[in-house]
Amino acid sequence: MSSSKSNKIVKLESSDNKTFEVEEAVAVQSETLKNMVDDGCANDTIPLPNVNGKILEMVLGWCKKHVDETVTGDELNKYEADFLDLDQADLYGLLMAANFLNVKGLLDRVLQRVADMIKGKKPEEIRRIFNIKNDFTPEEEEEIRLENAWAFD
Amino acid sequence: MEADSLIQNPKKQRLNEEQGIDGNNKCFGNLPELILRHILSFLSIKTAVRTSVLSKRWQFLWTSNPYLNFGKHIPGKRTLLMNFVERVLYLRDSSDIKEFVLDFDVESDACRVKSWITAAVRRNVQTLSICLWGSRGQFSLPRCVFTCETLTSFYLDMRCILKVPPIICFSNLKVLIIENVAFSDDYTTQQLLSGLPVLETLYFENCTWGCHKVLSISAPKLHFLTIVEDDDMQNPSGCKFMIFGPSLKYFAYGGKFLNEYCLYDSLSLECLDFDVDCYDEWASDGWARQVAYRMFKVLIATPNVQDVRLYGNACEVLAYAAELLPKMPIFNNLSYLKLGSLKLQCAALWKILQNSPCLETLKFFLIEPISDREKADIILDPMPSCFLSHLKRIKVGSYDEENDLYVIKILLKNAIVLDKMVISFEENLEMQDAFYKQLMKLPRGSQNCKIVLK
Repeated sequence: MSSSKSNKIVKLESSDNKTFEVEEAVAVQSETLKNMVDDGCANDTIPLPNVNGKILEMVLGWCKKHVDETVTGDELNKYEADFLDLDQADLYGLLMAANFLNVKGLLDRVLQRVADMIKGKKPEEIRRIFNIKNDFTPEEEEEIRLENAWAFD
Repeated sequence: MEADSLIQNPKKQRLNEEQGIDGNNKCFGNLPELILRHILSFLSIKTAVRTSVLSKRWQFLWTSNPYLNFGKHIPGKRTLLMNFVERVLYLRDSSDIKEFVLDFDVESDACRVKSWITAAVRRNVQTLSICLWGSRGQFSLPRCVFTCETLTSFYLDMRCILKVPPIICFSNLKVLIIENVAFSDDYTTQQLLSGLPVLETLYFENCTWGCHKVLSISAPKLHFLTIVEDDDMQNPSGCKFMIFGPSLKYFAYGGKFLNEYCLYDSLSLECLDFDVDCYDEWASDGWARQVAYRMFKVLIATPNVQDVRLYGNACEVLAYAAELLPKMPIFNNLSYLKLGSLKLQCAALWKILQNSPCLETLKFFLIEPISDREKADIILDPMPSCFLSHLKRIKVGSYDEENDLYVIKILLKNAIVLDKMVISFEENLEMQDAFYKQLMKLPRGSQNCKIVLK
């Protein structure tokens, strides 16, 4: 991979036909896009049919912030904390986008945020968040609790 | 659809899981298994296993969780814990275990506990924390622990003889903390102390060293070394530790110097912390002098130190060997001195102050009582040069108004470049007021100095 800083612009198009132009250095924070750039497929606009404009804008904002050398460690931490203060629909969209685009650090942070939603919650509450249908009979559920007694204490 | 309307809504809503809007929650229900497992890997094993009750699909999603932290021992839950640990280890998939933390009463289950530890090592564990007791000194760690190349942090607390195997390979170990262990008499102990190529933090508490007379710790990347010796459980003459620490930045020692510590190649040491308690009744049998000599040996080896903390009666201990005081090194870089108690009548303290020309901050928790007779011991001439040029901040705890004012008066009068003196005085507001008024009346060597009462 060339180590020279190229001023190349990468063009991206979201699922709802919004176009975004970003510097290559920003785009390659996404491993997926980086592979495309390295393979020479990034000369035309890259279509991203599974990421909508709003989410893509967020992801690119994240990438820009992480490339910016003037941002301090503390500023970055605050940015990341505020960034993830989202409603569930946005969080889900961000999760899918971060997974597909393979953006370093972003996927972990989003998943950590989702994990935080599970902590301290009763099973019913967790089922609601993840839309889980309980297909255990009460006896089966009781058996699992007994088998893992230490965890359910 | 509710989901769409939320996307069009420009305001970011706070995450409110209680809303239960179906349109929203359907989305998280569609996550692929790999992502769900990834999410569960951020949780403690206890929280992760609790999800096994959510549905059949979720029953075994927790099995790639790498953080097997079984927490602190809870009385009465020993059997439950044992069953749980084994269930987790049996049902786990083959992914790596990043962390294995166990606090356990071994009783007669040494064999089973050994196999749990072996399982963790075989799964490339990085952080291993084992606190075991109740084995009546019989427990031996599985050998594979000592050749675990993925291990970066190892914490061991075990009241047993530690049998170190002949072959050791801690090629990635950065943190080693050992408590309550009895090291064996043979060569393997030295082998362990020499086999720590990338170690950065080393901590020993209440360890005994068998019949060893000399041991050397040679860890080229070692930054932090702490040794704590609580009790008198040593062999009488103790062991001499030769510590080669070219990267050593911090050395802390707490105890009675039952062993000797010789630092070599440690001119980069920045912080020294001594917590030494030595009582008057020891002064007669020569023990106190030995402690003084041992403490002094460390001071001589670290003249570039920037930050020194002396707790217990470390200062007085030095004074037990008065002939050493003239040989006290000059601490040209010492800018921060923190004491458990300030004893101005102690000759060793004055020597340190006089040999610290660049001291800027002086902190102490309390002021030792000073009798009228002892007041004559305070050596004001020559005044330590740091008082005249560098001492800017003094922070003190005050508990005895009458006694303390005498000492504070001396400090205020002679620290002529003092910026700020902070005094914490834990009494009711009325007494604080009275004390403050007295403080304000004291003559100040530094006109710009602020006095703050907390």
